[in-house]
Amino acid sequence: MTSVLELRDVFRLFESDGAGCVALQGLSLSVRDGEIVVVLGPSGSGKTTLLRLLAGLDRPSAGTLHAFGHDLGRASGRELAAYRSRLTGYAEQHYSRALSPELTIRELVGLRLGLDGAVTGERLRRADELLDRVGLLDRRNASAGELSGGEQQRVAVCAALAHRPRLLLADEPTGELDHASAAILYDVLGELARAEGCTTVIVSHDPESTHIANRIVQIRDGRLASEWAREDGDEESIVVGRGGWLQLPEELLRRASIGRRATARLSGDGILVGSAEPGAAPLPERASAAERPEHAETAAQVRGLRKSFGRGPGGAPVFDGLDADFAWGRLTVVTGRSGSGKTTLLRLLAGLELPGSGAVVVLGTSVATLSRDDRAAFRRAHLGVVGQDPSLVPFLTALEDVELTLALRGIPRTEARQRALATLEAVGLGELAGRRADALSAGERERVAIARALAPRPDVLLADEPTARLDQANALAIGRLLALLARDSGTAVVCATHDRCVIEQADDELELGAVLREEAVA
Amino acid sequence: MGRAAYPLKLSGARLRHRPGRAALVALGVAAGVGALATVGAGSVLVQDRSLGEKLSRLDPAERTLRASWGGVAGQGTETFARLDGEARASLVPIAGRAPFAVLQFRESSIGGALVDLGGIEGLGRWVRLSSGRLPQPCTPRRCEVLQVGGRGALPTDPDLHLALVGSGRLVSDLPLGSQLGLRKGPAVVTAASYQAAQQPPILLAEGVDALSRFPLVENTYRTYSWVVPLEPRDVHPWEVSTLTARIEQAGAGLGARSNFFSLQGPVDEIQAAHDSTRVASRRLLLIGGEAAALLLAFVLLAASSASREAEAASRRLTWHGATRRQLALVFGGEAAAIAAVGTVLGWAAGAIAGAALARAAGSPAWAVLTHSVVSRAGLLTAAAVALVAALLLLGSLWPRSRTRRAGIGLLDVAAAGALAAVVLTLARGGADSEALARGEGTGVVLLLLPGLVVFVAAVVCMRALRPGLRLLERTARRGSLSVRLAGVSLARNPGRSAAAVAFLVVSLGLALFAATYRSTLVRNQADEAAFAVPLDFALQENDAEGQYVLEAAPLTHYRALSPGARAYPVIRLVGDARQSGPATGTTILGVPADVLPRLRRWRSDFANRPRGELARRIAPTHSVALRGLRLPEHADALELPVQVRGGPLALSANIETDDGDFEQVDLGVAIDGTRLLRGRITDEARGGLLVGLEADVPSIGHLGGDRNLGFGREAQSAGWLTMGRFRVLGPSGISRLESYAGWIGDGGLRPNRLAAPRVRLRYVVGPNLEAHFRPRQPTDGRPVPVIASPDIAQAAGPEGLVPIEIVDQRLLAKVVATARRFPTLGDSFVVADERWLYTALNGPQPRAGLVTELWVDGGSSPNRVAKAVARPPLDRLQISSRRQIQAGLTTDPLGRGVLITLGAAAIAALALALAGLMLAVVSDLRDERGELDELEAQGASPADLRRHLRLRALIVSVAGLLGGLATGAVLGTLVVGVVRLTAGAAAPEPPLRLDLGLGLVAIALALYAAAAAALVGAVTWNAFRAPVPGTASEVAP
Repeated sequence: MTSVLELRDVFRLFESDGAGCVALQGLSLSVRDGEIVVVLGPSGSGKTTLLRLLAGLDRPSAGTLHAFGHDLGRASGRELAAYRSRLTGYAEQHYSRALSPELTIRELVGLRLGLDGAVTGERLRRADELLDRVGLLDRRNASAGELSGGEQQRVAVCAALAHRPRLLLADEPTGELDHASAAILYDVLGELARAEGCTTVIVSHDPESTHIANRIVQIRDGRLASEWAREDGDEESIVVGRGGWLQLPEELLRRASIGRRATARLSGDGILVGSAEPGAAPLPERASAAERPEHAETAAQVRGLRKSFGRGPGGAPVFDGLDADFAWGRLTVVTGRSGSGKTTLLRLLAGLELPGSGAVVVLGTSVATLSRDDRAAFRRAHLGVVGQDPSLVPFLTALEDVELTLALRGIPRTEARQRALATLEAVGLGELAGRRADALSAGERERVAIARALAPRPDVLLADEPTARLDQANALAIGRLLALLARDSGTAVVCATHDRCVIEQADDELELGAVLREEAVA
Repeated sequence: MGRAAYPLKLSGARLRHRPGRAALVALGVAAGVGALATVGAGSVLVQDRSLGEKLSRLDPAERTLRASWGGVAGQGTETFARLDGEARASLVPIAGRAPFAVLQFRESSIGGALVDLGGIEGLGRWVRLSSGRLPQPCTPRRCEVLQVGGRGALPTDPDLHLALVGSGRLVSDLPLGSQLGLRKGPAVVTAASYQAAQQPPILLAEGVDALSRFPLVENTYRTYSWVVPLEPRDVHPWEVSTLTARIEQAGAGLGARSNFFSLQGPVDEIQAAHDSTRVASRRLLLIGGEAAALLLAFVLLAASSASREAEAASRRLTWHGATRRQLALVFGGEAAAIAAVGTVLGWAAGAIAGAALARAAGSPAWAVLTHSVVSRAGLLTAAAVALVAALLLLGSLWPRSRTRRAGIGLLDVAAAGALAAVVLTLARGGADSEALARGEGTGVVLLLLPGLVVFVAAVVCMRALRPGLRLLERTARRGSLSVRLAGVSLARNPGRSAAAVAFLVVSLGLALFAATYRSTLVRNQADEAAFAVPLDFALQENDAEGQYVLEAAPLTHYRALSPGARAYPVIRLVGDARQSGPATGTTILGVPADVLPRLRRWRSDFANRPRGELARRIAPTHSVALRGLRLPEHADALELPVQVRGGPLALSANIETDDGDFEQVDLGVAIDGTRLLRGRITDEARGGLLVGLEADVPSIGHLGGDRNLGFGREAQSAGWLTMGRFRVLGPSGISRLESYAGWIGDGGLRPNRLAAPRVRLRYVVGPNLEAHFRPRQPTDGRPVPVIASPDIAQAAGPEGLVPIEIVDQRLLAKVVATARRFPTLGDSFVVADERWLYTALNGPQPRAGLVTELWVDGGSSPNRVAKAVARPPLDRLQISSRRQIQAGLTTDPLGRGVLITLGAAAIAALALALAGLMLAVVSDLRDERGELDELEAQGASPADLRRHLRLRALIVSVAGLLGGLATGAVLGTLVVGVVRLTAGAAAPEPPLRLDLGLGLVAIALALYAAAAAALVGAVTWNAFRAPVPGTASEVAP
């Protein structure tokens, strides 16, 4: 098979006022015609940027990108639009954003055909055909809002495939789906892609996606880190970039006690990589069971927690009798697939959601029984919250954003400034304290949000995917910071994440999913 | 479905999905367009009503179509029947109804008696019977007639048996014209009878045809007229050109049929009235411009509030492969649909409103509409408005890169251009009343003026907002969290707030402008009435009645009419204060100085000094009463012993009567030798003041008509006159008046020796040489202190002295103060104390300065005075009432329409300001939901967040209000200064003066503030009402 997508040393730099953010840094990748490629990697690694480049929605800052014979880096706006219109199908990460609320799903699926000038009959026939294949024909006249998340995402995939594109691009298609829905969707996606014979690039961090892939590539920090092809058997190959750059898996580095420097020498046919820092302290390991306080007092707990979203048949149960405890002085990570309820659990603990039934007790207070004002006062007094998509006050500087949280707690201005500065230093943003939030990169904003939550020295810190937009080094640093905060100050830290850099620092893990259970990481 | 059509379908889907938002924007469009359409229809309606009003003020005889044929029936073949047919065929299509025929014979002698004979079809409509009955149509044997004027014997002739069946008078000049003078008042008729021969009987028969065929008058010259009066409602602005053309064509047609035919129509009158109504209608364009500016601003605000959603939709469609052209079609279709629906609804609503107004005003509704909103130009305007609205909406919805730019931008350049356009246009007088009357391009100026001004103001406010908000931010740092947050958020993220402030500046500015312009016009109505009648009433001599004002009732009479009521005598004369060049027509007004502080609605712009000081400056500091010799109450005759050496001399005594008039007692002619001259004292002169002796050459009348004596008016007479003291004869005998001590001679009389009790004078008298011997008056040799208009003050010589020529007398005035305006006066005037002026004028020359009018203060009960002046004896005077004039101005349909429109515009603008503020708050809530929820997650309570949002709304409101107040004041000042028209579209007298109407504005703003506080409070309360954040009910749009 010939390569239809060729990326060579692609860089993508996003400019903002006085700051820049490198999303891709020398990424090279080839995709063959008809191939299904799954791109894995943590949030912020550049997956979505890659997909946008492939879709012709963006252009590389440097490097070359050829797709089906088009040089997308040099194509005119009109040519890009034509490429996008004729050759690509795009399934967005947030299906709710991708599906126009004003159309029925039948019209949504036929939308692309309509834009291409197809007659109504042809458009509807094709829509019915695809909806039939994904089991939604009987609901074709419903609007997207009336469907469950999985159904909506299936519709999004159908809409992306309706015009028989040569390239299907899917960005985290199961990002907001539960396990079962995700499995169904990937089956549908693989089946449709193969049936239509279109080349497919799927960006995901869901392992389920790999089942349909011909090839799996890992990207990290904007570069291709490793790849595995089904035809290659079980062995995963590490990608060697131009100039010999290669990225070793974090797990291997840790086991080899390799920190900041390493040595490499030939050993037979291979290269032996070892630590260049004799006596260097090994990277922090997760706390052993013996080190943890055995009878730590519970800072927060949920009992018999039930919660579902939506009403009627489309309503999705998130928790069905969940029991969990969160101890003082421990970093508890809440893991699970996307949509498993991690964010919801944290919002329940923060009093930003109310349970359907069951108890949510934080610091001995039944949060759900408080009024909205009292819950705000409770958060102000005891909690620190880092949201999944933290909306810093965009017109404030990083320092003012942190100060604001302290001001909310009535801390005097001078003291608040000192504490805010110190906290920003702790998250590595001391130099950017005076920069407005809307001029910070996504990762920097994330760190400001963390500083904002840490500065008031809360009794309980609730952090939702705090490293989602951070590179590995920063993710590790934040993971350590959270762990240290818990251990040194006795704060109960509850962190929803699927980043292994954080998970590895955790004292406890609460894994949410089809079977809700709590288990010790050790 | 093609690639172009499908996006339009998506537009439809988007509109159906969010009908609320689309409806809101469409309603905004509809409101503005509706206002525009209403103004369009109102403009035509106002012109129609104004034309009707002006025509109704014309005498019916002046707005009459009259076809006339004059000739002798027996000399041709043109029978009345044939002429009648032709005339009717010409007139009916023009007037839409049949004329009535009139026959007038030349004054003829019938049976030895002079008679004015005629006939009118439907005579009963035009006469009021005083006796008898209306005549029956003539028969060949007998012709019944009605006498409507004239005196004398009725003609009797066997061939024309006229039977007088009654008498009456014509109630209108319309059938016969005004030549016969049949509707003049009795006083005028009586006066005229002395000057003309007695009018023969005027006899009118019913109908024309039968009378015209009597053999006796077959060869009598006659005039047939076919008269059809044009009712004011018959003539509409849109028909004027057609009507005048038809009249011309009909006249030409009749002329072609007979040389003796002519057609007269009120072409000039209609055209003049029509031209003047253009001013009225054009001024309404100001309101149209205001509506358009409001529409523009609201559409921009509403559309910008939806821009984020539009961006998301654009992103979605781009993911689905839509090209930019297809995106343009999607959003263009959406914008076009909203604009089209809004425009259609608004235009329809405007048309309905226009029709309702037309119906209420009595104009033909459909015709008004077909010449305004549903005319071709109107529909094209609607289409253009829809297009502009659609483009604006599309521009606001269209996704674009959002970058912050500093420095001068496109908006600033556009504002500078708009400012330059306004300044240039106004400097060229592009919208003043003269230009309005000419109508050259003023429509565009007026339409654009409000929009341009508020646009400039909005941009200036937006630019001034940033530093203001930064200052606020610094100030707010020490405040509570909500205050700090509000200050910081506005200072650092002023985008949407700036848009909201700009909209508030526009809407509140226009609301204030409409309100202040309205109150200015209302105030002007009161000012105008007070300028015409400075107190409650002004009584003047009635031309028709010939009644002297103080003859009707003495001044003391008015005190009894109501507590505090008082009448002030006023002298009004016209003179010339210029020493060279053409006469200027300076008005000389004498008013009692103490009336000045009582003048109603005196304005500070009339004079630089207060009224009290003006009064003090002209008030006499000593007695200026006329001096003379007081006659006894019962004096019957006056005797004067004289001795003449020289030519004959006619002597008369001038006596000031109690009512301020002067009576002249003719003493007879003194011929060479010694005589005792004697004259009879009239009733009016008894008890009067003898203010002088007048000498003249004797007239023929004096000499008994004997021309052989050789004396005539042209002769000059000179000699010596020696007089003794006046003797008064009365029931109680003979009494002598005081001596001539202090008397002086004027003109041709020079005292040579003044030794009591006799006086010797040298005289030279002639027609052009007046001669008076009179007491020295307190005003003699002293200039009259006057308040002068600037032109007179400027022309004054050293020490402010200015001589003023009044007929054949010269008044020396001294300018002691200047006033730009004075009630009842034009541009050039002097105002003096009435008593001073009276004595200064009448002392040397009695009757030179009589009281011409009275200004009456109604005291505590003007209504009682109003009733009293409507009754005898005062009803014989011409009465002007300030309240009636003001009521007339207030009820004038044109003025009322303008005021109602301005009021409605103010209310609409205020309502839109409220809607704009709400839109801003709702948009903030929707678009900042993420940040607000995050703040709540950090511990900010809903109460904090509510307070934060309310504070922001308050700051935006205050900024918008301040900008709006300034904008309204500027716009009001501009318009009032430039468009110098009253509510009724007349030239304002006195000039308009901006009245901010602070009371009304304060009430309106208080209501606005209360409504805004309530709505903002409710919306922000509702936004955080749900038990958890992020689930508040969505608020439109």
